[in-house]
Amino acid sequence: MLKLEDITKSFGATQALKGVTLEVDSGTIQAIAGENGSGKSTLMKVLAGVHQPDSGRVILDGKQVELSSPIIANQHGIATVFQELSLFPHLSGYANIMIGREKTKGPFLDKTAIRRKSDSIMAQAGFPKLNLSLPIGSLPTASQQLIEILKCLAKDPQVMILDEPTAAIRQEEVSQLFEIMLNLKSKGITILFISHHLEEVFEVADQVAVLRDGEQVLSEKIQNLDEAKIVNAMLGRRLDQFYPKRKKTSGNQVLLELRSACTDELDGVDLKIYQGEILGVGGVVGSGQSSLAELIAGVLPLKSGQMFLHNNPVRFRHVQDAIAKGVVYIPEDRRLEGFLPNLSIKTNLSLPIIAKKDCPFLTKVVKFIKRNKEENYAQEIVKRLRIKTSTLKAPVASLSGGTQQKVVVGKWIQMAGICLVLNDPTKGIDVGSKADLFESINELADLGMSIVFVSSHNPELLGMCDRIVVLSRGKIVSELQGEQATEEAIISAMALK
Amino acid sequence: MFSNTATQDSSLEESDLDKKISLKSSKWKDLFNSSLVASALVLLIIVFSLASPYFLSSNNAYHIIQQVAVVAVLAVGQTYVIITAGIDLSQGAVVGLSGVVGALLMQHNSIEVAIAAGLAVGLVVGALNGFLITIAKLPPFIATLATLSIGGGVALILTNGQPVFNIPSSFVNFGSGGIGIFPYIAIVMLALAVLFQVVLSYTRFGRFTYAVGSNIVAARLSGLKVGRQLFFVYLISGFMSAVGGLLLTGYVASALPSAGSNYELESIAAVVIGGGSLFGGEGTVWGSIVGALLLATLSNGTQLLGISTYVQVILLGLVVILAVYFDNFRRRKGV
Repeated sequence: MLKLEDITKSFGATQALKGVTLEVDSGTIQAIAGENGSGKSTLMKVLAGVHQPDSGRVILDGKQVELSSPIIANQHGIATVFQELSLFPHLSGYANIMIGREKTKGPFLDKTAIRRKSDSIMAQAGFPKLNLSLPIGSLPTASQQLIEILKCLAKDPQVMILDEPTAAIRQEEVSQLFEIMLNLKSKGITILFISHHLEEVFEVADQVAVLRDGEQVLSEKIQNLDEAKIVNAMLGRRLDQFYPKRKKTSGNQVLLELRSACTDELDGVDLKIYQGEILGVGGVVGSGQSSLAELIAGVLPLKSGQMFLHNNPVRFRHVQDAIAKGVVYIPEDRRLEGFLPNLSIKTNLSLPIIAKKDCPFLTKVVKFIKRNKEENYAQEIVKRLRIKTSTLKAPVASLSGGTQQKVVVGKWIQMAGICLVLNDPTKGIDVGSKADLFESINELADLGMSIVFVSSHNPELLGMCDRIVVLSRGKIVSELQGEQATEEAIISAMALK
Repeated sequence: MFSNTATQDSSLEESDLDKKISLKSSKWKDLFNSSLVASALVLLIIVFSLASPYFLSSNNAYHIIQQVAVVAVLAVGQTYVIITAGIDLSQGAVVGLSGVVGALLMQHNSIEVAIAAGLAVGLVVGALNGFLITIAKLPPFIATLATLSIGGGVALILTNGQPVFNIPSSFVNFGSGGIGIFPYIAIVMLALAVLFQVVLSYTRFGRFTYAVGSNIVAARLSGLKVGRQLFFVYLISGFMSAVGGLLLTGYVASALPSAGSNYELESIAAVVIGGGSLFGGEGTVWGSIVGALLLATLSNGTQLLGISTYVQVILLGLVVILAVYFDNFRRRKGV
């Protein structure tokens, strides 16, 4: 049995954990839920030996243990699969799995023994067949995730921490992962599991603990819980309606139209986008839904086919062309494509408008930035999106995931003239931020803007969108609206060829 | 849309948002950061002036400022490049080449023509770097390493490996003269530093420079022409190197094809000491100038104390290590 007793931890003035107690029975799956910044990652890092608690005790099988470093935590049988993959992309699967615990013959690596050991771990845990001799950078993300888990298993753990293991993988791979988790559980391994998706929690967890503001506010067996109870505990307020209601219905005027549009991934897409509608785009990763978003926003050029804006042919050669017409794009990966990490919130928010030709807060000729106007502009967005910050000067890297995403959306919200394209905008952000985001999207649509909403999370499409198109292998295979739009319909359309 | 049962929570949040969010809170931190290097400089000055009475004399101060001018001018260009997460190794070659071209042309042409040609050399090399990096997509390190080598070779061919003397006296007077304790070349340096710091912090061009260095993909998706921005940044660095080369020619009254060797390393060191980050998105012209001053003071002071030049270069390396170490330390402590 694993027991955390009254753990506290502060970083400077912020108290991340205010005395958290948690008991986990051996051979069970314990889900940890909470919004970003609730302290769940810090708690897991204490257990992983990354952070040392200011006070409190960790008790493993009746004995108090001092987890002063990740290596020592490993020695106590606690191993972690971190949120960000911590793999070496140029090395083989074998090399990655056995990193730091390589078998040797004299001064040389014993590659046969390394292979044998990896293969036996893989077979024992019931993993699907993976090619472990390739450099893992060439494998799909889901396989990398599995290798990360294998690497963790090579440490022979009693307790395994999985920090958002489903964030980067596809729906069908999630069930594969869950099978592996259940299999590990049956072998007596204790699993701590963090996820933002509650339906996943209900699928695999035995019990759930909820953290809020560094305190444990709920700890209960899964049988005694429902989704609403967990969400209410996470938010500390009641959630009547997660997805906001539309005040207006979409218009019947076509804003943007694609005719037999092709890119590398898209294969003859015909699509009309109406004014004031929220159009959902679903499909498994790689089915072309991301390309569709990028195409509409001018990030990806059209290879063949046509695009019309207000019934006039239009061609976006660069993202600037789309921006000039009022079509803006919120990219999929905020870290890689969205924000400027070491620059301030203000600078991030104002960058697109400053890049515009006729920016109102630049002087003529020399293009000095009028600082007051820029600050007011940023101030307005911060209020509009309820971005939580004490200073506009904070570098965006220092903010929580949800707040970062609000900054990325905020960059564009005043720039969107006619169409806002969102590519999976809720990845890895907390429930509160999601709700705020949904509300802003709805407001824009009610004002007559067209929204293209790409999501890998089907309940979101159903909750938010007026109409949903589902892509498979670069083609639109289904269009769902009203009563027809159900989770089953989307999933069966995604499987169509 | 949430119905809030915990109303006190939400009202707290509202009042937080209503008050004007401050822009000033980190001013003190900024000041502290830049003053860390500045106080190291002051400390050095105190130590050296106690150790050697000559150190603080106006003659020596004049000499230090003169010494620092060339490296500082290069550091201005290097600052821009490093903010974009790049590096310009070709600066030293441009110093040599532009000095040689200017000096050769001064023999038979007007000084204006010679200066223009020298500056043009810098622009050409800068444009070449920009082309290699933005169009041919070479990493900045490789592209500028190549142009460093090419530029150095061209300078050797033009002069047959010999120094160029007979610099017109008006140019030499400019290079060595000054007003009071301010050498002309330092005034040129200061004017350029002010100009480029203003551009960096108050104009769109400066903003774009930081944006490209902080996250080039996000910058592109924000509608910036990132290739164009990088091109101009390397053009600026080439131009500043040429200015440095001409100032050096005037100052030493001759042009050596190898005159600029290792200057690129000194300018990089100055930028890094002054708070620039090789990962991009950080750095200021002021910081780099202070960094250059620190290096020049160290070299001058140790010379006065009779420490051998061999030991001096070791000290220089140590200063770079210390500066970046403290910088990292501060960052870890900071946020």
